[in-house]
Amino acid sequence: MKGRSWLILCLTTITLVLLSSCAFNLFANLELRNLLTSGTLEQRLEAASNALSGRNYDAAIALAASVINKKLNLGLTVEVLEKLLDSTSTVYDLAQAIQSATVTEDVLDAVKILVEAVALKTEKDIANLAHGVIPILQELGIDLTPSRSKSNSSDFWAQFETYAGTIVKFLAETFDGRYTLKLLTSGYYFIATNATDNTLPAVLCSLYDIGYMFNLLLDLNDDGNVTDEKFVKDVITNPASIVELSEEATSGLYNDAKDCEEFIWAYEILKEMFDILSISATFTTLDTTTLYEKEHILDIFNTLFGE
Amino acid sequence: MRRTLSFLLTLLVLLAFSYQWEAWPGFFKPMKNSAMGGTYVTTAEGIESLLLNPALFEAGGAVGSNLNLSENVATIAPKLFELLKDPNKITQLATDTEFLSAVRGVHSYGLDLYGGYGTNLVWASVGGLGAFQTELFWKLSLTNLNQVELGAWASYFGMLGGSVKLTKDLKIGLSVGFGMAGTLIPATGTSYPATVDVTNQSSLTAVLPDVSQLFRYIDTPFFVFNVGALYRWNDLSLGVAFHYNSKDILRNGPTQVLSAGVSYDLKILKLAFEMEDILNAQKSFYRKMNLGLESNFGFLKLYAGLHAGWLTGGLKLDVPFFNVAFSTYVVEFSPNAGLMGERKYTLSFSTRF
Repeated sequence: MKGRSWLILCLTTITLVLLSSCAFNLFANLELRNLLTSGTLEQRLEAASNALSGRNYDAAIALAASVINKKLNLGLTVEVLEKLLDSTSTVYDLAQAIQSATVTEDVLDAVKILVEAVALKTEKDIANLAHGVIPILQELGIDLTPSRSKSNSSDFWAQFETYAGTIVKFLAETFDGRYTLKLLTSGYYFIATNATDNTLPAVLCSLYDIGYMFNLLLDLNDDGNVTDEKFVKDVITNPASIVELSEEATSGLYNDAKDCEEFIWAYEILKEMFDILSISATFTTLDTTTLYEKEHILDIFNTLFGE
Repeated sequence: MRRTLSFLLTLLVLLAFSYQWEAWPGFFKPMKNSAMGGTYVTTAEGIESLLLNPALFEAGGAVGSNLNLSENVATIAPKLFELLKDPNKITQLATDTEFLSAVRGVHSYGLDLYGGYGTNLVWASVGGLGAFQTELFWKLSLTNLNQVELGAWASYFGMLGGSVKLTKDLKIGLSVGFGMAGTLIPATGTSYPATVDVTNQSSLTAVLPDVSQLFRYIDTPFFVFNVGALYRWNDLSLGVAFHYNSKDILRNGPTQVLSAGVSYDLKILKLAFEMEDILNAQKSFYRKMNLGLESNFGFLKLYAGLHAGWLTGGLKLDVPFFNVAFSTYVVEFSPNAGLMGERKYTLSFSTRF
């Protein structure tokens, strides 16, 4: 064999060796399609659980959703299931179906897998949230190690003002993706109200639910994201003026009846979760008309928490 | 006929388990075979072929070790070393999100030590092999800390076998062995791996062994049997291999693996294709498929392959009397290709004589 051929062969093999470090599977899509078209419910549920453990979140979402699809007769096609998160209307319909579903063991297991996979895929899972929250808390002077948990209250508020921009930026990034938040809220609500061990699901449901409300309130153009909103950008650049800015910024609920209904739905969910978690909080009575007519973000906060 | 059908049915039922383990007491693949997409029926070599396909066994000796590391080793190893130096840092690990993300999912670490020698005896090649294996496994979800799966096992065994040329083109081989195996986690019980609640200390301590008496847990005898055949026609090789373990502690029963393969030797490049674990009805077609490629540059050998759809690769520095090798491959724990793979790295040292 000539030197050039040796070189080509050597380079090809080295390329294959380097490629082999990539977490990529050539048959995964074929295997997933086979399971979605001809697998039994048990096979799909087990495969979804396996895919979640193997960090193949797309497959876990498709397989878990296919079990829910079958049990709740949603009529979703294989093609839609394979790219579930790409269709906001499908995600919304799935969330609606889950929140009103009759509980069975299969559906409960599938929802558990689905929400965990969706949270991991969209980087809204516990570890990612903690990854954002812990540095902020540390910047605020809160030491999270169990033996030395402390904070100095006067320093805290001074630090809070300093880092308000960072905090808002983190919250905005976390609470992008309205329909994903709706799905996560509905899923964890279903788990929290039907599973025996419901503390963690109730905490997560509350978190995503608050995120969903935050999204509805700030997202003026209804594109599902809040990081592109002027109010959010202004607060990040000028955190000290958050109150003034919220007096002027238009509420995402203003003149939007559908968003107002969703906001009230989320508010009711939060009440239920606080009951499960035995957190005492004062909840005001909300109605669509009030939210619909309040023009500014600060008006909504005043309605929720009082002037 | 009915008896045969009944045997096959029993075999399929016995093969119905949750995890598709790729190494167990009495069976592991050397670095080369892992790097070549897991192919072994026509590509095993040296004394190690007694473990995989004894028809490939040829006289010679070897001593070697494989250190099998999970992909998360670069993240967790420095943190665990810090923890060893200062045990009080365990509280920091509980809030270390990078560490938590790295340990999430399915992971395993393992060590194989082996040595053996073989010689030509009249018309046959005969030899023996001794090996020690151990592996640690866990599956963890941060939202289900009360259902963490945890397991560790160890085994040692000895094996005798050989190969014989029946015709100019056909070789057959046979190896038999006996050893002891045991689960270290759970220290008691028969189900592997154990499901524990890591938030409940008593649940965790209940499955842990007494570290001062680890070898006491390696108490289950097992018998292994390998038989294989290889037909060579010019540069084309066709092979079949069957492995049997009488008492596999990971499955709490016997294990059988039947594999068949074909390879073509282009001198500088060897291509191999095989179907592994053909009788396992749980595994899909794609899951059973292995492809391998080997190119030999003298002192440097390069390997690549496809195991259940996952790309694999490796290289071996082959200097006289001593080999150092590195491979990257994926263990697929699921019966389907691409669903529950764990990227692993193996560092291998061996000497041949």
